Amino acid sequence: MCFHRPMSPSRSKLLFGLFAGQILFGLSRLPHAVLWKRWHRIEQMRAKGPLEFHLGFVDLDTREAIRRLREETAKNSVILFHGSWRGPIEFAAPLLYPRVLLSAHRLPDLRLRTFMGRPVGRLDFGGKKEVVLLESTEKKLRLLPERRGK
Amino acid sequence: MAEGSLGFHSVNPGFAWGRAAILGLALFAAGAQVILLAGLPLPFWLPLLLGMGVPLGWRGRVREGGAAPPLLAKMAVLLVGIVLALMVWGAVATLSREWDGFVSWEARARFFGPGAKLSDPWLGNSFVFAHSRSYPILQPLLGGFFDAALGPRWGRILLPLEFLILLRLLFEALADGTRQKTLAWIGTLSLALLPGFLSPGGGSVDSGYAELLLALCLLAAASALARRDIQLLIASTFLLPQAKPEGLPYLFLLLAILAFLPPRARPSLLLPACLGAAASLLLWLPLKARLTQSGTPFLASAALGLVLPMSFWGLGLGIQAMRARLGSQTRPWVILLGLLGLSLGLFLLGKSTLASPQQGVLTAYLRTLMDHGGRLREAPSILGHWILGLFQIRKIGILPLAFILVLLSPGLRKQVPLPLLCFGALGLLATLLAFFASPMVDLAAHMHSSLGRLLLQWTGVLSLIALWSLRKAPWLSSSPGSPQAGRAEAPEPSHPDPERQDEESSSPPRPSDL
Repeated sequence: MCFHRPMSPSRSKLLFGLFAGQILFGLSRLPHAVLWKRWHRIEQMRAKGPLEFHLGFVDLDTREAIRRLREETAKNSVILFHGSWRGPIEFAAPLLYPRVLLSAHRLPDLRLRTFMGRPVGRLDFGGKKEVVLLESTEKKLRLLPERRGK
Repeated sequence: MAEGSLGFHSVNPGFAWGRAAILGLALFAAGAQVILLAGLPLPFWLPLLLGMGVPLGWRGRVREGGAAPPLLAKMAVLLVGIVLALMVWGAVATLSREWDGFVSWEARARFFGPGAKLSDPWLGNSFVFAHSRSYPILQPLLGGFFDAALGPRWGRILLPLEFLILLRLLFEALADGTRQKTLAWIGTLSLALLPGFLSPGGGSVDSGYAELLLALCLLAAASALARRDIQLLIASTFLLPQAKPEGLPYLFLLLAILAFLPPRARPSLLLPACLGAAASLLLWLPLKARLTQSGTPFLASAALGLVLPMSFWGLGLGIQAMRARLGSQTRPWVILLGLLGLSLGLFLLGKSTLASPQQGVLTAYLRTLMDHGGRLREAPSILGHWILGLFQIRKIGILPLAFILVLLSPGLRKQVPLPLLCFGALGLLATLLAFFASPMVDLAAHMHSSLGRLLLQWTGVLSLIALWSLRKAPWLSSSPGSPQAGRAEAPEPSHPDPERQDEESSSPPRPSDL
């Protein structure tokens, strides 16, 4: 490194000019890129709600599965799940909060009414109340009765 | 005064409250982790630790220097106010509208509020679905307490608050370090209007991502290096691994730089940096092992947390001794040999310890390196994407370009303290090297989604370096807005690189008025 060369006024002015340019560029983006696009996204989320806004890209059955769990299980219940930890299940966890999503094999006995001090999630399948299993793939979620090989 | 209207100087003229906020953050993070590791619930009074930064950092001052043109200061305050108002609106209008903000950072904030303890199902049971279980918890901790106090939507005001601290920290570093308020306001404005922070999308201020928090920690570390601020250096090295997973490699990068530089270029900085890092990893690695239920015994992860950072101190001493034997001149092969040894040591250490299957995202990167030797075959593609990424003006503005200009101009480069310059250069390089270890199958998609955010994390550091290099610009000093009067009142700060002190003022080192 050379420590004795004087500062070049043209380069320092160019550098200062770059910052001035960045400020002007940032200012020019305020009305459209910052304000309008943000307002549009906010309105979309308000209109659709978090479920439709975030999971608009997945099939209807996935959204219906989450909606049904929210409406028909207790808020503090344990919901069994099986399969991928990626995909729509990532959104399901916060959307179902404060319900707990538990790996299905960790529930020792399907006859248990409560686990970890919480009720085990059950839904009506064909007129019969059964422990519900949320089956997860990277593309979708499905609700099934948990029967463990039956 | 215009500056007072945003609270920049309203409490106590010159009080460096951005710096105090960093000290408070470090105390808060440390306190929370000690309590969690002790198996106790997080107490409601924990945020009081954030306020402890004020008495700790009370002596830190932004000294008066060359004043900025009054119109610039007024315009800057007005624009920063408008931007902050927009970000507050964007943050509190809804919950997070971005993927990772919604599924990870904000969702985890619900688990870390007052009363949270390690025996809770989300924290203590790895079979319960919790996104990014191995990720650092500082942002969720802050979010949890803000949500508890203000509700889930108004609790998101934390995000614009972090942005305000980032801007303030840059203002303080430039105003105090360059003694040119013009540069401080230009830096604050350019960062405040940076498209990556403002445009909706992952990484923006109101997205809920932790890019902003990591940018804050990196800027704090850079500011500490530039001003030789020991207190801030300890706090920032503590915070780096607490913000995001990539904070850990960035921390090692910082420690390696300090270890390899000759002591006269980084006086008294290596040991405090190692101590801050050791304190952080001593808490975080055992806690992470508990959260991921990796099975690593407490003592093993605590020992690793202590040994890893302190080995850089040993390395620094070793290199110093070697230099003494070989002569004062730094020989390139000594540095190369040391770097190779360090890489090999970290690689072996990573292979045996960090690479257990439950350890998380860094493990995935390490495994790509170990199993496949990295993605060297894709080097042209990685390099091409990276170079294009540097010029994403719509994300990171002109900052990489400005930084390259500083590197290529000896007159500008020599103004910047050597540790700071190395930190910026190697940090930028790290955003390239990360993709050689990318575990993602679709590399192009990975670079498209992540590179912009990685670069965004360094924007505060790049702004600081580029504007710091202008501190002696003759046309700036002689302008009417930056009189020399301030310099007459207070002594010129010593050049942070003593190697270059002979050409400048020789006042004693000043660790930021600590």
